[in-house]
Amino acid sequence: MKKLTFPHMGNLKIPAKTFFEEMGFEVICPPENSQKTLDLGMKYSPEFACLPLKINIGNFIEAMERGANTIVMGGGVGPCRFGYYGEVQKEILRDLGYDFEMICLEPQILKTYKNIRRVFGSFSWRKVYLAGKLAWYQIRAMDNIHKLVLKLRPREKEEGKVDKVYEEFLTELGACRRVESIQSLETEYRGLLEDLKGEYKRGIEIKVGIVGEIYVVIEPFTNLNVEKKLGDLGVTVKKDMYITRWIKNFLKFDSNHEEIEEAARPYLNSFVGGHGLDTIGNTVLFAEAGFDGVIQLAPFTCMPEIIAQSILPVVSERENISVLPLIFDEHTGEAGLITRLEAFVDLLTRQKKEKMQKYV
Amino acid sequence: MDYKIGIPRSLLYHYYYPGWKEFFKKLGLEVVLSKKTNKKILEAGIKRTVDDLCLPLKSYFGHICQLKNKVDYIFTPRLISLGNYNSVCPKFMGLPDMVNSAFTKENLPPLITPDIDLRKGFFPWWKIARQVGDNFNISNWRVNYAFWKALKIQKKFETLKKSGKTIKDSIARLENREEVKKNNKVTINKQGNKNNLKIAVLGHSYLVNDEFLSLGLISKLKEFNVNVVTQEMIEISRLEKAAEKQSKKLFWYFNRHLMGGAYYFLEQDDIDGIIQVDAFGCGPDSMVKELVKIKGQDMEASILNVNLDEHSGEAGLETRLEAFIDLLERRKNI
Repeated sequence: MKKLTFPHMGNLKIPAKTFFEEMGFEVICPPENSQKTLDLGMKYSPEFACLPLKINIGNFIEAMERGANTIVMGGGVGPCRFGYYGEVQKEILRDLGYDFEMICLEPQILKTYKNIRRVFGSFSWRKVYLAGKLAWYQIRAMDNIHKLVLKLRPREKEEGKVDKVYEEFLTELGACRRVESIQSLETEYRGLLEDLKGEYKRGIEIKVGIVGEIYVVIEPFTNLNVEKKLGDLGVTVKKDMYITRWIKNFLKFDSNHEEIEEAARPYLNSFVGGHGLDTIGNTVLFAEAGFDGVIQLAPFTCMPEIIAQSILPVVSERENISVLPLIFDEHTGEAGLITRLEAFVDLLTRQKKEKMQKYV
Repeated sequence: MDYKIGIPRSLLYHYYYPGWKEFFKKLGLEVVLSKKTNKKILEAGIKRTVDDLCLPLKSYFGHICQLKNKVDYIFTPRLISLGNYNSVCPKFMGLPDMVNSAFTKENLPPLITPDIDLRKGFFPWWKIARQVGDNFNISNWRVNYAFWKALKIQKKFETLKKSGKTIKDSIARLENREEVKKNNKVTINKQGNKNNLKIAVLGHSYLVNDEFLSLGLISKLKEFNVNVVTQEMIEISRLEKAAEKQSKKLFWYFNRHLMGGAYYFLEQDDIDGIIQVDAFGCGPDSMVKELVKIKGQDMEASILNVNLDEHSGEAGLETRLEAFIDLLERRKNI
């Protein structure tokens, strides 16, 4: 019996579980990312590999200990290291003595298809369509509510209420297996969240855009939940990357991408792998949209983000927007992060108040 | 025309310099090469870059800094891809942009930044040459002529490398025969190495062949009377074939050859040990190293990993090399 597992990335587990279960597979979700996951990953991964690889290894080990034997993983053809994750992880886990199969979803469709056929045998395309549709609706609902949560956290009436409602939503969403019920759940929770709207904690609206490497942007465990910390500090957060966007990007349906490339052109004139170009482009777009600041999130030694980080000071100066780069690795401490965020937000608030006084 | 064009003695210099030099010379430009990497150059580079950047790139910025007041143009190509499924480290792709932003507040001569992307069309190198020629308003005939000449020199360079010469010796040989002879005499027999050890040194050409960045690793090994081979001395087709052992083809061109080199040398009986050299923060190497390590453990090979950064000390390296050589000798005697 094939028991599937996959790495964690934010709330991707909900639609992924739905998809594979609808396809008729048994799914073993790795336990939530925790210090134990990270420790396992650190122990067995190459020292200078980036953080996502280490956490993935931790996820796989924990999942296989619970009985999983088939891993579904993303792939790629470079130049970002993510494209070779699968191969390295396979070697490491084999070396540790685990017996498993791994399916890498590569851009070479024929090869991937053959690989899937080899592992699973035949499957029905109708099932793929139906399961895919359901998963896609879940992702959309999830991201819509997530965006709303980011907007409402800095102006919630009662401290911590928004997060409580959000968690309830996520648990209920996982159980929804019909398109209509997903849609009605979304409307219901939209109403519930809107009711929590109050005054801004800081008196004025401070808007911060989050750009950077996708895994660290989406997975709250790696970024020590920056978005919640910012929300609690009274900051409206907008991210440049949500799971919907990522999947569109992966399947090459992303219509906004040309706009991003156009915005980045004066600073970075080439695709640099990963999301380096998006980081620059979106910083410019955030500046044009009147955001007060931008935070760049990246794992330590991430190659595309190092390029972006080298260029961002110039972008920040010419576009007149404050940028805070935050690099995460397994040793990043929470207290240091909070101090930096507080200082950054205070700076933005002062800047904005000065600007407002000028106009009055 | 007597424009001066600067070429940093760093990164791609180690792969293409003879060809580039001939090309610009035949175009009627004067080629200015930056000095060999030294402490001052590296420090100038470190000052202008973010901390996480790898060592060779930091030194590249220092070389640009050294050239900027001496030349009219600086040649900083943007290396995107060396053919289908042959990408390179992303830092090469963003290099001109990084240079531009690092030097915004200083006077930088115009950069010549052709896109080296060999995935597109026929004769991509020729198109790149034409693109560079357009920057100086040089007639197509002359560009073609210079390109032809450059190709010939570059071919000679490749043959020299494959004949077992280091890049430094090959370049010296192409420029001036005398220098090589002198260099060969300098080798001192510091320690009698009776066993005639043969060690493969695997690392990016721009790191291993830079005397300062690699802390003179190769010359140190030569002082111990060790025969040094590098992956540059092996035919590319062999490297590619050895790299096929990995079920998924590695997409970084230079690293595939490194990995292929490691797998190739692991199977050679006359290779006693392998030294893997990489720079702190090198992304592709961090992955390849792990794969080679796993494979090496299976085959019970002796592999020394050397990780270099701006704080590496020469004494520490020497001790490690000595210990490694002792170990290899003992292994060989048993």
